[in-house]
Amino acid sequence: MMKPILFLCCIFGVLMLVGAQTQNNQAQLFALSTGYDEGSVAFSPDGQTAYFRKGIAWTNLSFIVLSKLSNGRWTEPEMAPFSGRYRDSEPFFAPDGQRLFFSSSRVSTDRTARSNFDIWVVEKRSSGWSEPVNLGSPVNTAAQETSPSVTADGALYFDSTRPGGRGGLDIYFAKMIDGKYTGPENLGDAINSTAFDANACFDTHGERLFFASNREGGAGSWDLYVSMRRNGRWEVARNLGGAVNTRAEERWPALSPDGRYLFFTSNRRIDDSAVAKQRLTYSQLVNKLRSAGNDSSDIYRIELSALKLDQP
Amino acid sequence: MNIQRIVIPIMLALVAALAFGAVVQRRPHPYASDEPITEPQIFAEGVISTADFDDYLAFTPDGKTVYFTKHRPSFSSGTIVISHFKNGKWTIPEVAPFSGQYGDEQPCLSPDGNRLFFSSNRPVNGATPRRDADIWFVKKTAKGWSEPVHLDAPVNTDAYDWHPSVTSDGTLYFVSARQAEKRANNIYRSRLVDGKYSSVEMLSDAVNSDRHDMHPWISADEKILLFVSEGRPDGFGNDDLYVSYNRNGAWSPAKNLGPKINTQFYEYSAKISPDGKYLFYCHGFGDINLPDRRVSYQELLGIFNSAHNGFANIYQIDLAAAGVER
Repeated sequence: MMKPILFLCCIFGVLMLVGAQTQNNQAQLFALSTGYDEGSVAFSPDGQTAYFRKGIAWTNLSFIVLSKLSNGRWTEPEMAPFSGRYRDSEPFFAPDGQRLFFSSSRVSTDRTARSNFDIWVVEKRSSGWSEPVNLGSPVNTAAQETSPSVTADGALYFDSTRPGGRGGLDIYFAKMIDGKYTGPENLGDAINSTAFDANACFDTHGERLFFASNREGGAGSWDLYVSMRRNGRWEVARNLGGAVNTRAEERWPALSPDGRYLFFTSNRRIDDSAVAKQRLTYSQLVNKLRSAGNDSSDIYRIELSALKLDQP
Repeated sequence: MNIQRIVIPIMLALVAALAFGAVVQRRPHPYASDEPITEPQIFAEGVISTADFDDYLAFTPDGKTVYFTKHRPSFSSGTIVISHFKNGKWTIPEVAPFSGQYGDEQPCLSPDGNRLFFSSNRPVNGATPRRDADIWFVKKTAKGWSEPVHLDAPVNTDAYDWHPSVTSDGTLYFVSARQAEKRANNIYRSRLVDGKYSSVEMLSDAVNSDRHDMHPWISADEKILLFVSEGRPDGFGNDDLYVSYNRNGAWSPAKNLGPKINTQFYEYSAKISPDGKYLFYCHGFGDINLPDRRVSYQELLGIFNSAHNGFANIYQIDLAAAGVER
């Protein structure tokens, strides 16, 4: 009587292991994704709070919301205290967790108009986050400045459409010297192309740069790329490949604070066979239209080890 | 037997039947309103116009059944669904028997209600969906709708052929991107001759332009053409609705329906209701109803989960108020 059960347990165990193995190698939908537009996640250094963008298609509208890890589950999001009125997106925690950078068009009171994005920052106070402050010149200009990313030495990386770039959006950086940002410099030809290049994200040592680009030669409209710093120079970026990239958009790479996971945003369809296996009923249809994977952006994660990247 | 004892009740019954008939006659179509609708009004909110991307509406000739399309958030991959007016309200929709597997949209009924045309990316042969769309139709049979029939060339080509509308004599108006390299999407017409669509002509430049001209709706008598054009100099932003009248075979210059209908957002797929009294059309792509102050997360979700979340809905207005001559 015991033997068949033992045998089944063994089979089950093997299946579990295999299942875990495939899971580790594939991008997984992250818990906070819904039928609306989520993306651009940033974690507090202790990994206990996630800030991310939430919006809805066609409106050009997004807010920064936050969720907390409680007993292993992410709580129902709440509006970030500094968001909820203007177009805000792309939160990013400074490595020490004391400041949160984000992009916003909040100089404008018209929340749906396409207006000028700048980079803003809030600082942690005993009472919570400060009022947002515009980073000002030389970072912000009359062109678009978006997608802030800050390294341990205080340098700010961001995207800009300012004149003098390679085309579209380029990634720039400004060093922090004596508490002030130096004039932003273009990250150069190893990273920037004539297409749109954006959303810089570094590993903890600053030796690996992930970013997004809609350059030709990718799997789809936007793909994620990686570049390594060798002898002080960024090597030519390469496409992260099929474990991450699809013909849909992949953008906004972000690493978990422990460096184990690469998070990113994708508007891929979960049921992308283009043809459903059978006709949908109305309730199945409505469920599909209103769930993650409907083709509004969602947040995904993949184990960094599954990408088999060169070691820095 | 007194003849009057039979005749009088019969006459009374006749009068009652006529009076009842008059009441029914006065309000035959469920979408009809006792009050004038002089400003655009969202149609059947919560059932037909919902938090989803709802558009492309088509009534049966009796007005008691409506076909419309639900899209994904990106506006791709439509599914055609049906709602019936029963017991004083529109029923929860069901997926049309011929839809629910491929990308189907733009349902259009022939004026006699015996054919329903639509566009689809379904494969003509094999199992792989097409990259473009073609025009298909289903025929009414004793057992419901027939299997979809694919229209042959010259209506369908390897370019997008879609947005069908049909007159009483079977003349098909539709949109094609077959000359997209020279122009854009434009409006075409094909006459039904001996049961076949054998030639296709592009409508004159009174209607078509170098921009996208789409979503034709042709009246059963071929006198009124409603359509959409993108970004014309006389427009109010993005896609606007236009009307052109058939004057002895020539189309009058397209007239913008004006700012009561057209906005900075997208207006498209206008149709005159079967009773000829209302304009139905679609509006959306970004029109969200948010208060001008900070909103909480719960408020935001409430707006996202409503019909006022920036996707498309179906709107209704009196034809006279829409500036369309009948």
